[in-house]
Amino acid sequence: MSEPLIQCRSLTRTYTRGTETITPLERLDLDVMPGEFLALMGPSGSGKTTLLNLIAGIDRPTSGTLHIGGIDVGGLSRSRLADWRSRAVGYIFQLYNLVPVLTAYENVELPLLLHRMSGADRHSRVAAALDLVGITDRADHYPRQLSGGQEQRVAIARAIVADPAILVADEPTGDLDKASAAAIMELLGRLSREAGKTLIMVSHDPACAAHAGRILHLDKGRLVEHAAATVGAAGVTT
Amino acid sequence: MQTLPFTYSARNLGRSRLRLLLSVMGSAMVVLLVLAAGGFVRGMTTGLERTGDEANVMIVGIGSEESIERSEIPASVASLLDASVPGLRTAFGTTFVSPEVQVQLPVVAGAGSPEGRLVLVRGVTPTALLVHSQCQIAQGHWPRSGHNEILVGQLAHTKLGVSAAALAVGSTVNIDGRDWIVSGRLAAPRSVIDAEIWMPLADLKEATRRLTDSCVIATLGTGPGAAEFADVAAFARQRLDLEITAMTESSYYARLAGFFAPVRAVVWITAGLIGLGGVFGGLNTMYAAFASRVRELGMLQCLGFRRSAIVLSMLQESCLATASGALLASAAAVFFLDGVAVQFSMGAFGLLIDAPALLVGLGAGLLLGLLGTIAPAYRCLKLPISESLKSI
Amino acid sequence: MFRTATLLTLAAVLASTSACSKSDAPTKPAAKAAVAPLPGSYFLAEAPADAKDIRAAKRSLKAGDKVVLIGRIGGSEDPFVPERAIFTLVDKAMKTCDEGSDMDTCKTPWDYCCDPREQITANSAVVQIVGPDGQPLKAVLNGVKGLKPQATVTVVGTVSKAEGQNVVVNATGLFVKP
Repeated sequence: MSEPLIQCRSLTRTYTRGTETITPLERLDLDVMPGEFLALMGPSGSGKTTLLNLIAGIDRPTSGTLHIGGIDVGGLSRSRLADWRSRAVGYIFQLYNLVPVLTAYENVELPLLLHRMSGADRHSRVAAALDLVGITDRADHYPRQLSGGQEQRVAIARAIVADPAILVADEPTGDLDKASAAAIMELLGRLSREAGKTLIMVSHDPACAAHAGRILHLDKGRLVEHAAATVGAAGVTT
Repeated sequence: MQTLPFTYSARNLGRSRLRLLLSVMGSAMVVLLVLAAGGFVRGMTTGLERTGDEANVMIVGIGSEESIERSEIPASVASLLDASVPGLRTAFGTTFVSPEVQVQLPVVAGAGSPEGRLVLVRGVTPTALLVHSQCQIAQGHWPRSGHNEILVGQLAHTKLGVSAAALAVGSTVNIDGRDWIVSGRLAAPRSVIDAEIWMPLADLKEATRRLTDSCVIATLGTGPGAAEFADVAAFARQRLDLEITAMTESSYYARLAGFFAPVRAVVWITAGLIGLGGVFGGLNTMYAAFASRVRELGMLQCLGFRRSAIVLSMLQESCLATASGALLASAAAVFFLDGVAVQFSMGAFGLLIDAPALLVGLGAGLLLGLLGTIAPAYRCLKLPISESLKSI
Repeated sequence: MFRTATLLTLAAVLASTSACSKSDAPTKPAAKAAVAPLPGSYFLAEAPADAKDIRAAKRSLKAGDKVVLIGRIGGSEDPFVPERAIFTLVDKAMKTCDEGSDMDTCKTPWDYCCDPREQITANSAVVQIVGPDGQPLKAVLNGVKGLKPQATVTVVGTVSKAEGQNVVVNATGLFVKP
């Protein structure tokens, strides 16, 4: 059996607001295997987005360790963490976060500007990503000319274009109608199954979470239960 | 550091046309002001510098080195200098030695102030045109001695606060209670002589009842055997009884320029203070521009772009706007400000929008963009990425 | 009349041609070589005897007289002429500005600015070291072997000019009081 891609040990995140200390994530242990599709569920404030942000490298643990692909992500400096993010993680947002002044093509191209490669390479990778999400015909459109579902497809293309091992998605269907949501979930499922991406998704919607191989429920910063849906899920050790 | 594409910065400007208009016009106004200040300073400095010729030596009374108008030297100095110092510039048997009287007199012209304004009146002989190589008669003829005739500089009307027509050739001007006829127009571009009135030396001496000259100006020769400044200075020293001293004309005008340094400083400070107002306006505009896309800035960091790359992009964006404004202002300054006459205590000069002034203006525009960006950029980027992503 | 008319024409022609060619940049005199200090041979090792004060001596001096004068270098802000062997010497009896009680902050006390110009002139003589052409040597004096403003100097030489207050001495030897 292969090694876990993500290893969290006693992962804790606390914030201080004035005199109040908030602990959205407390002593969490978690292993995620390569290629796993994991859904994080739980009420608001349960710590699922905090866990997602820690795994995505845009936040740092207060204590505990977080190893991803053998790297102690929590110990990286700000600039190394930025470099690591550009290589290892693709982030899919609820509100897509496309740059309105750039076309779909240019939005997808953005992460590749952080890597040394020829213009031709960049073009072929952007074209492949747009093709994979089925939005090639909208490449020259600006976000305002796209539907919500199309915008999220562009956002997914942007997340996968640099070929990261991990995709994190924060409520990726939260702003979409049912049909579009289903299409996006189908796309994410394919990325996990066919492209072998390790996918960690926060969702309130059980229907969306059902696409995941494993569902973790969080409450007040702790794992309360998990449902192993399919094969390959690693155990929660808390 | 991997930077964001320039198109991102450029297209961001188009997000709000009103904001773009405010940035560009705000910058243009500030830069125009800076250019006006720069044109004033350049015009004044260049005017004084160009009046003084490095090849010219002035002989003035000892102790009057700072003001020729106070200087009195015997009328014999010019001929003594001509006879004693070989190697002064000559042409067709005439040595470039110009005895002069310089005096500020009240002048009334046209519909100007009835009390008149003080204008520098220079009593000269024809050799004045030889030593002051930047001068020429643009219109009319040299004033004839004994005919109450004068030459007026092209900017003299500015100094007098009257229209140029009031000093047209043939018109009458009252100088210190006596009428004189304008026989010609004197052109000395970019020099303070442009605001002077010239008349025959003998006439001015007679009108002001003086026997002495103010100074003698001589041009050093060129080539082998040419006199040097030290030769003229030695001549002045040898004539202890005449109580005269020599200095280069350029050093005299450089010193005059130095006297006006406080005026120039006040002009710069005023421009700076108004520019500061522009910076605060810019801060507001840029903050509004950046604050509306905090989430996007968080997303860019999330992708892996460093804060420095994002700040650079923000700087590009605001500097592009302010530089556009600066270019507009520069064009306006070149077309509408350059050459506009301004009067000051010594005479008048034209605003000079030249390369240094334009560089200062463009620099001010870029500085405006720079200063207007840093604080808003800091405020927008200091948030943790996770907080930025929650921003609405 | 003819001469004036010719001069006028000439001036106008010259001025217009030179204005075209030089209106943007004032003419610059040619660059010149560095000037050497006054040779040591002019400096005397010992003070010459019977030196006379300037004011007293000026009353009787005529051109061609051999003379020994003593005084202090001064009389103006720069009593030397840059790059020429010439300076003014002032009678020792004159008080420099810093020797008075109220002008002790004067930066150039050797210019005697607190005294009337006529009095300074009456107490001054011009000292020059001339070349074969009768013109002051091209040499630097200020700062050489103790020559500086306010230095007491004894001059041995010949009177070249003595017209009223204007006395010029062609020096052959200088003794600078240490």
